[in-house]
Amino acid sequence: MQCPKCHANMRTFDRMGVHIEQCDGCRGVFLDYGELESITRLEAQMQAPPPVAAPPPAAYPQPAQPAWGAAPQQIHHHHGGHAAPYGYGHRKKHGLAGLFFSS
Amino acid sequence: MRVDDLIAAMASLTGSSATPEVLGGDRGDVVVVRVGDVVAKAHPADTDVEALRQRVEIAAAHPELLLPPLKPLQFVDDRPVTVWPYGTPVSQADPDTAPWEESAELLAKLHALPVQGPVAGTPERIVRAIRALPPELPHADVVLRAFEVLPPLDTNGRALIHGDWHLGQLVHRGAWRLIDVDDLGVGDPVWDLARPAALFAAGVLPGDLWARFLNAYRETGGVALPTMEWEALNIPAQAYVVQMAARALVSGLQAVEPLVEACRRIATTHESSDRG
Repeated sequence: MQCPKCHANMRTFDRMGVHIEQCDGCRGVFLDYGELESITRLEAQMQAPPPVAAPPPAAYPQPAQPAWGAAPQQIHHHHGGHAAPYGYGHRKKHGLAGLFFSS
Repeated sequence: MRVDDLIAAMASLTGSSATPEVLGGDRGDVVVVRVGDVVAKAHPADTDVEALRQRVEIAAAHPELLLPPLKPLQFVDDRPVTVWPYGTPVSQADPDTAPWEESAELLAKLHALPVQGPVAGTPERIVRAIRALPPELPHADVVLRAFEVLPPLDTNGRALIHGDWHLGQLVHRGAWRLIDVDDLGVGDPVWDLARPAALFAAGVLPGDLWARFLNAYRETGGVALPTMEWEALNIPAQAYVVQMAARALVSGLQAVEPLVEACRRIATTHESSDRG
């Protein structure tokens, strides 16, 4: 196919599933019927946030401490990741969990 | 009566021929015996028998919340004995998988029942435990100081409460049910939430577990808490911190350090607000 503007040769490229013809001479681009709409659609998809595979588990906000409560770094909270200094393993030390079960 | 004779008499009350097994070790004036699929509990000799009878009747009337008794109140000599089906206790291995939500739902529904029965055992039982702390024990001065600065504990009864709730007060038998009616009665429902609140404030109960419990209680329509939960929980939770610290010092079984430190902070908070 020849460029309708400068009559140089046009080459077909495939860009994300859309065929476009570009002129080797003036670099002009020729779109077939519907191809502009396809490009517009692709552009919209690229701007949208990526689809999420599954909603993240509901994380409760850290509940309030009273004025006399333990300092935040003493609160053993594991959502921050197991690498945190007060990670999951900290919960079971000292047999403190026994306090959950006794009068 | 010798303990062996008491156990044998309790076993015969169950009607089971299985070998009796004493549960929970030596608990002083309480003896709990499992015989096959049945559990018999001998209550302290000085129990208010009429109150206990009413408590057992409340459990029988609300099997959707409380483990129902197999029999009305029994006696071995003068000793009141209650008889219950056996249920599986909560595993202590992993607090994350404990039934925090189910507990909160059961308590919220209990608090919504018609107000009935004897006066709940709490906060009187908390005060009793603190008074039993020998003042000469290491750290007892800190714990007793925190108790001294507490205002009088609220005995305003406005709901039916369990009176001594913790994860050991739950068994699974088809579904999770509350057990131990000894302190069941009319009281302020905030007391049933104050022990986990105390453990959270002391830095012992992880915040996410406290949040699961708290949110489930609210979502079930629990009546104990205003929007800002510490407005209601503050003093009851402080009382439970002091009680648990006292118990831990006496028993020597549990790490007491975070509780003693919390007692120190409680005393400081009250002393600074008294000056201001």
